[in-house]
Amino acid sequence: MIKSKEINFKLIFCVMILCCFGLVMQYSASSYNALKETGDSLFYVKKQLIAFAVGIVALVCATKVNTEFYKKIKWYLLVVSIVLLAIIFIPVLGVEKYGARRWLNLGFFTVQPSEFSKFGLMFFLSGYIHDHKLDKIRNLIIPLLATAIICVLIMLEPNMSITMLVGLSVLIMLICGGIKGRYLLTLALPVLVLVVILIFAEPYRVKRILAFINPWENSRDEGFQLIQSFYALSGGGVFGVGLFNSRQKYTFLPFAESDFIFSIIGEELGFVGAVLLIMLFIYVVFLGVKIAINAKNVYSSLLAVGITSVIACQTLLNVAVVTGSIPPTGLPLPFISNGGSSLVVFMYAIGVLVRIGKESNNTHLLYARHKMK
Amino acid sequence: MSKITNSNLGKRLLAVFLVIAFVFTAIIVRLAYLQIIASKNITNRAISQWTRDLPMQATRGNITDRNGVVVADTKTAYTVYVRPNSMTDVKAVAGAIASAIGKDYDYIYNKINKKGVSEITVAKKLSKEQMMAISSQNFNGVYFAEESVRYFPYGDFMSQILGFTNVDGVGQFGVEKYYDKYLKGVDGQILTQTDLVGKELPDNITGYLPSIDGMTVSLTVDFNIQSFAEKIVKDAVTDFSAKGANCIVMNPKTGEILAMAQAPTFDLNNIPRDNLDALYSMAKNSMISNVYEPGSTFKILTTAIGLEENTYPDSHRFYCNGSRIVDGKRIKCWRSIGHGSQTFAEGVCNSCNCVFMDIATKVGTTTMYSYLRKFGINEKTGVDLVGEGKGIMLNESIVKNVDLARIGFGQAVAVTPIGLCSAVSSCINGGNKITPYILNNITDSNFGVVQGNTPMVGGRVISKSTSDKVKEMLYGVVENGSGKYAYIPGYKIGGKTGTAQKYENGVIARGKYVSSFLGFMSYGNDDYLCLMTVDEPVGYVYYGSLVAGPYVGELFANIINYKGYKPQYSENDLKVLGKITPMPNLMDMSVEEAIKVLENLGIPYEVEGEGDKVIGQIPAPKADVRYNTVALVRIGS
Repeated sequence: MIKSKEINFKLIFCVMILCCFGLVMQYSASSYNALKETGDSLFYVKKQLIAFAVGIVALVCATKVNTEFYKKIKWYLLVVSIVLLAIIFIPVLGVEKYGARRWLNLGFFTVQPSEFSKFGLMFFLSGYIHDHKLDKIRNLIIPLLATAIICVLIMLEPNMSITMLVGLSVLIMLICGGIKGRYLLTLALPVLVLVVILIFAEPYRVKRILAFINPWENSRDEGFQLIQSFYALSGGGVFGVGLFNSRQKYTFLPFAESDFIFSIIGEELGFVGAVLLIMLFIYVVFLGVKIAINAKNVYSSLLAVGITSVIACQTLLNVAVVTGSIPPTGLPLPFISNGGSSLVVFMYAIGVLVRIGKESNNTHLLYARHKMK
Repeated sequence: MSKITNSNLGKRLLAVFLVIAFVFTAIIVRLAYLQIIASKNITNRAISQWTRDLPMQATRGNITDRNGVVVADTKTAYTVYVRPNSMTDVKAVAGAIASAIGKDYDYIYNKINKKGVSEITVAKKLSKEQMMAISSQNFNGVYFAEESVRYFPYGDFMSQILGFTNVDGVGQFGVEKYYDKYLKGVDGQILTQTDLVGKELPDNITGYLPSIDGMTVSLTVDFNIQSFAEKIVKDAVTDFSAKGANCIVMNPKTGEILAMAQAPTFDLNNIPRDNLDALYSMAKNSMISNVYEPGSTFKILTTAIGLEENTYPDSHRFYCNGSRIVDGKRIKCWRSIGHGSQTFAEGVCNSCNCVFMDIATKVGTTTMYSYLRKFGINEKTGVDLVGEGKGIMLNESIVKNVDLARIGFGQAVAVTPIGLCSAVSSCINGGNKITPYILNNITDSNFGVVQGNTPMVGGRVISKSTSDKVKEMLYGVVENGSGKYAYIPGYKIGGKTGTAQKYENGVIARGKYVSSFLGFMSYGNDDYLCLMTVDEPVGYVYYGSLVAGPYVGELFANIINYKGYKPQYSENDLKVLGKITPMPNLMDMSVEEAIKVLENLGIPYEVEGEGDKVIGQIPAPKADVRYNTVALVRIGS
């Protein structure tokens, strides 16, 4: 019979490396600030360690859940995603930080519903697209409406970056789901217009774009963060200043342990370290793509595509921001940045990917045998 | 079958993956730009935010006299500052600081009792004792910083020569300004690695760029001679209620300045910066920047020109009836009854104006001016001090005989004291042009002497024989003439007095004079030239001979004493002085006995007191007395 215990250990191994590396870098980036603010240099790392432990449990659990289950509950997943995003706006439950309402207060800790919802949407879409072919325009209505509701709610927080991430991931889902080229083009135009309007609706976004175009002119305010990121990366040079030797982590670079951790990595480990890390991410994405291609059916395949796109797009957006390639938005680097809910959700998603791979190994062999007959 | 196939999805997914891989590659290119290509440029911008630098003040170099006596030093001073947020007992701190620095308690309390200020500088330039008085009480939030500040061990000594720096330590006057670049040294830096708000990093590596101390500037000034000069200018101002007095002593052969003193003066350790006008007038070195009509001291130059040009044969006799008529104008000699018939040398001795009018008018404007230019009257001497002025001569084309006659005796011409000294030096040093200077050498503690100085003896102005003749005539002035108050038996001293009326707004100011004396002394290879001017002496006595002459005599006497020059009496001196004999011991003698002893020795005496026994005597027994010394015998019972 079939070997049913084909677990993709390559993927798990890579993710574990990313997480552990992330913990080390978070310690380096945050210890000075943590000591100054809380008196405990391990403050951020300790929180992340707990999240990491929870994440491992989540990953293992995810591998135990049959993917067909998500298909069955896809409508519930969508509703929960929307409800979680909506209840942030209930005063007691929502927490406001840095001028945005992104967190949900669960008493002893806070979570970001958008982290859950972005995957929730992918889970829903893979199920829906599997059932409804995308070659009919009316079959596009529900996926687009679901995407629109989620995006609007996230925009209201506001969180432009996750909105963009969701948009990009849905785009990939639609492409892989077989959307026709002309539908895509008719869709793209209004979305682009909307994005431009949204940018100009908020003065701070315009400022950020200006700061992105010439950060040196606004080095004191809007361009500050970007310039500090440049200082970190450039300071690192080819081989870096050495692990734990960052200069920029000493309060110069804001969010050094979360959104801008890649800058600190570039500073301490240099161009070589930064490229190696990017390679590792590409490899993880590659493994995800492989799992999607080899998935047992179109549904599983789309689910793997959704998860992989989120990982790939978020990594791309984060690194593009810290290198000044796109205007700054706050988005954590998957597995590496400090942030508990993000880590747990991502690890669960990896668990799902592993499960898809595991399920496909069976069918794939069956399929191969079938062909040989 | 219209359902999307697995392979269709796979193709599209691969395409998406390739796009993602491409975007990743683009980002890697961007990273390469930031981390490799532009790395240096961007990092250079970052360096300034990573470190804070504290300047480390270089210790200013010392200024010494020619023998190494330190006249401008540095000492450590302390700045006390407080951090209000860390202070626990503001009242106690205010009390301690107020009493230590002698300021009002309320003033200090109000100054330091401020919230929301991170640091307040309370007082600067505290002495070590004042600092200790505060720091010994171990207050919280009180801190001290060390700095080196200029300190002048002798206070109001050489004030105009040394000058001073501004509060930032930049030379503003005198040597402090002229040699500032050598004295100031190079400030160092302490580079500290900090975080964004300037907090020092936990294990920061402190970059330390040591300061380089300033060099020592040694002056040609002799501390002792300067002291003598300081004394006589102060005395002159006091004795004659004069507006001011100054005195230059220099070596006429080399141009080395040995002393430059000016009164009134000010304490360099306590510079009156509140009254800038007064400060400026006192800080200005009048000996190099003021021009004045020299009067008779200028006759030395006319004498030299007259002799050099052989204007009159040696046998020529000048006749003075009290005035000369030049161009139809009567110009008076200072002695209204006249000097009668006199030789050139006698004329110089008498300082007879008519003699010099005759010489000047006979020499003519062209020759006269060519000599005065050679003497450098119309230009700066080039002395290495700040703010030198130059003499004023009438434009040659408009000089009429009447002007020329007056220039001959030192009117209608203006000079700086240093300019006159320089010109007269040429007349008595063998005829060479010299440039006055004050720098002996500059020494660096690591490299030794980095800049020496040698006399700049320029071209010939007059012949050596003329110079020798001028010298002889001027010796005569001191021995027999108007300079006799500067005379010291046994030494070769020459000189010339001068009294000039002051002009105010182009009109002669009645009763206002500048009295001066220009004297010189030679002993072996040592030569001294001294110009003393007293500005507006008050009272009936204003003649240079009476006002300035005795001070120069006193100065030379002090130099003789300090250098241990032995007298060489001329026959004339001995006649005047008599022989030297040890003073006999008269103590306990009877009055008659004592008088008999003194009369036998030929020592004049005075008796003081009542009684029959000698109870005191001046000079003391065995002291050298001359026969013309009057011994004082005190008697009692």
